[in-house]
Amino acid sequence: MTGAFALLPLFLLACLGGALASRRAASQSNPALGAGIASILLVGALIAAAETGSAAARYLALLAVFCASAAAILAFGVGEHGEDEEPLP
Amino acid sequence: MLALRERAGRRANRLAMMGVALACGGAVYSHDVLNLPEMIGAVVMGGGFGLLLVRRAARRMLPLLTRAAQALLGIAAIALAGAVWRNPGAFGVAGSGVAMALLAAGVLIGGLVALGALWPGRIAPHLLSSGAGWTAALLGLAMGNGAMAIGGALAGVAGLTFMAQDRKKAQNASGGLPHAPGLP
Repeated sequence: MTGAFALLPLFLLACLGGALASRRAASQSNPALGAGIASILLVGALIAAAETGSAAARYLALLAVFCASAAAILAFGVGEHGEDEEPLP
Repeated sequence: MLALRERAGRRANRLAMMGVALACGGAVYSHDVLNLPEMIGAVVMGGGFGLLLVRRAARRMLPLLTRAAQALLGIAAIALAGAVWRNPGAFGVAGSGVAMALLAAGVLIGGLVALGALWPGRIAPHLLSSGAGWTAALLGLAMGNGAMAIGGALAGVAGLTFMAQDRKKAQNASGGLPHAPGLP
């Protein structure tokens, strides 16, 4: 694990990459964006839950895992439903 | 990455799901896990809850489900920040003012995202997605997790760009007239 300052250049590069990539993407991809964020938070929550600490920390991390996995399935499901929609004539 | 290459469609969605499963497996494999049954139980219960909502919902309820997902993201971010705050030694944040400030900012933005998603008024969904992305990035920076910081920053900027695109489209649709109070 590295410190916050060591990750700052990567963070700024990611901001630039996100701006360039999203300029070409369609703005209707909100469920996909939500699913991506949910998966990022799910990975972080899994890492936090894996670390053994106090009982409060463990249960908070498990709550985060529960909420993030529910959000990920909801966002993926909304994306799948959206694909079922028939195009307008 | 494969899902991005496919751009859209059900195949892209499934590829993204596989990617998430691989990322979660990698995250668990790379750490010494003692409470694996609890973690699997939380994932199964959360996934089952989400699946139940999605399978039962009618198509007109999809915007509501998107907001529910955003509210859950905000709550997950707050819980994650709380877990890191209660276990600072594991993430190297003990005694670090910068890390604690990043955690506090993550809690603040995560709380705003959850409140905004549950708020009855109309708040731009891209703004909420962007807020959730920035929260993930801040928590990643605080935890020293590069993947979270990069992914969160990408999502945060993408949400803001989508919001700007939508605003531009709405302005073009209204004939380029600026919004003014008192006008219909």
